[in-house]
Amino acid sequence: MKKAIALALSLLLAVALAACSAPSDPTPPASPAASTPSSGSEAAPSGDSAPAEGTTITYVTLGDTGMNQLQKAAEEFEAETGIKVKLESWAYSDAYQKIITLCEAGTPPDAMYGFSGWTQQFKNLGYTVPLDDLISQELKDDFSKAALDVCTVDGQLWVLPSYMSIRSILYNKNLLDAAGITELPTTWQEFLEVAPKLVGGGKYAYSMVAGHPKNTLDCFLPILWAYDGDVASADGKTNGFNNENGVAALQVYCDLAKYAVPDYGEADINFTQNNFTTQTAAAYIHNAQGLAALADAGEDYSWAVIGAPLKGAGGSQYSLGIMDVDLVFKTGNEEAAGKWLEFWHTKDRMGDVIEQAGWVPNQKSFFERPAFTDPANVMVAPFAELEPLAKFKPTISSWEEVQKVMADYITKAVMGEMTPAEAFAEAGPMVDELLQK
Amino acid sequence: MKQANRRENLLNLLYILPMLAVFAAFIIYPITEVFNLSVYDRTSTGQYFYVGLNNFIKFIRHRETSRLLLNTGIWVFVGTFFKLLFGLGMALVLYQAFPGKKVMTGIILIPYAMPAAVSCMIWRLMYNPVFGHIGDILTRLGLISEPLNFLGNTKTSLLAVMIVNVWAVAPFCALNILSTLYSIPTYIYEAAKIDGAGSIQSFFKITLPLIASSMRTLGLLVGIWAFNSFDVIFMMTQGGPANSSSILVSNIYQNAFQFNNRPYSAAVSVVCFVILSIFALLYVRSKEGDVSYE
Repeated sequence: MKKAIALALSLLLAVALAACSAPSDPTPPASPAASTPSSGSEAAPSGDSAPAEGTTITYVTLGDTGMNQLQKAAEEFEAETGIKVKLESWAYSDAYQKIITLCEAGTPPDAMYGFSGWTQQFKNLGYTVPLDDLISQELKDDFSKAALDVCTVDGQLWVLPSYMSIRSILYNKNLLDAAGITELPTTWQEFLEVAPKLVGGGKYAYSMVAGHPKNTLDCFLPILWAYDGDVASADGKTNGFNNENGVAALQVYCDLAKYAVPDYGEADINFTQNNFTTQTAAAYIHNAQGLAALADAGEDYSWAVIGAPLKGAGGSQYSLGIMDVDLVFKTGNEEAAGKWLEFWHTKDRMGDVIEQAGWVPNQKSFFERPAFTDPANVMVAPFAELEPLAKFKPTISSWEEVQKVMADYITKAVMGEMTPAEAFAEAGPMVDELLQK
Repeated sequence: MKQANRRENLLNLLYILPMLAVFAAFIIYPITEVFNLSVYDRTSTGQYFYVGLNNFIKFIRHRETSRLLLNTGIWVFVGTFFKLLFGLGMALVLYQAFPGKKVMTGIILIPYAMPAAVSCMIWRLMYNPVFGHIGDILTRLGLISEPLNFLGNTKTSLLAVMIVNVWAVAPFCALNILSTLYSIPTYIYEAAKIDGAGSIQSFFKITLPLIASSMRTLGLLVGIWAFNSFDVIFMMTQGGPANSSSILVSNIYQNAFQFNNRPYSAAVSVVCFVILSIFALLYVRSKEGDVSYE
C-alpha cells in the first residue's frame, strides 16, 4: 500500500512539475518589450478597436493619493463607458521596485501614477506606450508647456503630467526676526553669511538631506543649477557637475551643513519638513505641503515666508519642479486606460486632489477653480508664480543609479570624507559611464 | 540478497523523490537561473546579451566592493561574536537561581520577540541627534561635545545598526546556550568541586568545553542569518549614508530592485552563494569533535 502511495505521489509531482516548467530556452526572461505582454486585468484584445464595454482596467495610485476622488471618478467612468476601473494603492517607497518586477513578469497594471524620472527608462525597456494617439488634442492643449516638455521624449508624449509641485526656499520669519535679519537673502552666499546668527538654543539655520539616495538631490539640485551646473551635459552624454560650477555648488552645500539640523545624514525630505514645521530650522527647500499639514492641524503658520529661489554666483536662480506623471503600460488595454486618464484629468476630479494637497496646477482649466487664483491662498499662488523659474529633474534612462552615485559623493563631501572637488572627480566618470550605457 | 538491497534502495529513493522534486523545482532551478543570469547583461532597451564573467570582473573592480566586503565581514563576524558573548553572559546569569528569575527571563526575551520594524523605530528615535536620548546622555556625560548623528554619519552608521542587531539576536543565543547549560549533568560540577575546582576553573574546564559544540553550531547559524539578513539595515539606514552600512545582500537588493540591474545583482548573488557554501560546509563539520564527559 505504502509503495503504491509513494509511486502515485511521485508520478503526480513529476507530471505537475513538467507541466509547470519553463521552456528550455537558455536565455533569461525577456522584458515585455520582447515578449507578448499579458495583463493582470481582464484584458480586452489589443488593436485599433474601441475598448469593449465590460473591460476592466487597473489603475495604481501611490500612498492613497486622491483615493476618494478616484473612487468617485471610477464609478462615474464605469456608468458612462461600461469600463470598470480597479483601483490599487501602493506605498511610494515600494513603487519603483514593484512596477519593475511586475513589468518584468509581464503583468503590469494598465495605468499608474508615477514619477517623471521613470519616463525614459520605461520607454526604452518597452514597458509603456506613447500617449499621443490615446488622449485628445484638447487635453494635450490644456497642459502647461513646462509640464508637456518634461513628459515628451523624442517628440512623443510618453507620460501624462499629473501632480506638479514647485519647490522654493521657505523661511521662518520668527527665527529670522529673533536673529535680527530683516531682509531675506537673495543669494546662497548671503544666506551662508547670515546662517551663523540662526544657530543656537536648539535652533538651526537650515534643514537638508545628505545621504538619502533620492532626496539628497531634491535638496542639492536647486543649488547646483543656481551655480550653472547640471546633472548631465546638454547632449546627455556626459556629466554636467564635475566642473568648477558643480564643485562651487557642492562647497555651498558642505558649508550649509555646518549650520543645518544635524540629522541630514539619516534624513529624508519628511525630516526637513518636520524640522521646519516644528520651527527647529529657519529655512529649507520644499513646496506648500508642510504648511498644508499645519493648516489641516489648525495650527498657525503665518510665520512661514515663501522666498524666491536663491541665486548662485552667476545670478542664476531656479525653483525645483517635481513632476509626477501618469503612465500607460503595454497590457492590451491601452485605449481604455487612455480614456480613463482623459476622464480623470479634469478640474473637478484631479483638480480637486491638487487643491486639497496644495500642489500647483499644470492644466490651464484647473485655474477655473477659485482656490487656485485666490491671492490669499498662500499654498498655491506664490508657488505658481515660481513656475517660470522651475527646472525639472532630467529624464535619464539610468536615473535611479545616477542619483544614487551623486547622492553618495555629495554625502562623502558633506561628511568630510572628501573635498567637493575630489568627490565630483570620482562621481563624474561613474555618471558618464551610466549616461553612455 | 544483492537484488533485494537494490530494490530496497530504489524504494527508499522513491520515498524521497517527492521531496527531491520540490527541492529541484524551488531550490535547484532558481539557483541555476541566477547562475545563468549572472553571465548576461542587458541594454537600456532590455535586450539581454552574453558577457561571460564581465559582471564578476565589474564587481571585483567596483570602487565600493572593498567597502561592501569589509562591512559584510564586520557585520557577520564582529556581530556574531558579540551576539554569542552577550548571549553567553545572559545565559550564565539566568542559569543561576535568584528571585525574579522568570521575570528577568521574560524581559531578556523582549528584544528577540519584538518585530524588527518596531525595534528599528525605537532605536531610530533613540539615536536621533536632535531629540534622541543616547546623544543627550553622552553629551551630559561630557563624552561628546555636540549631537552626533549615529545613523547619519559614515563613520558610525554600521556600528549603530550592528548594535541594534546584536541587541535583537543576543537573547536568542542566550536561550540556546541556556538550554545547553541545563543539559550538563550537575554531578560533573559536584565532582569538580570535591576535587577543589573553583568557579572560574569549572567554567573554563567544564562549562565552556561542554557548550563549545553547541555554541559553534549556534555561531554558524547566527552568522549565516546575519549574512543573509539586512532588514535592520534597510529599515534604519537603507545601507547609507554613502553605502557606509551596506553589505553584500543589501547591494544585491539595491541592484535588483532599485536599479533594475538584475544580471549584475545575479553575479553578486553567485559570490554570496559561494561564501555561504563555505559556511554550510563549516556547519556540517561543526558537529565533529564534540566533547563529552559521559
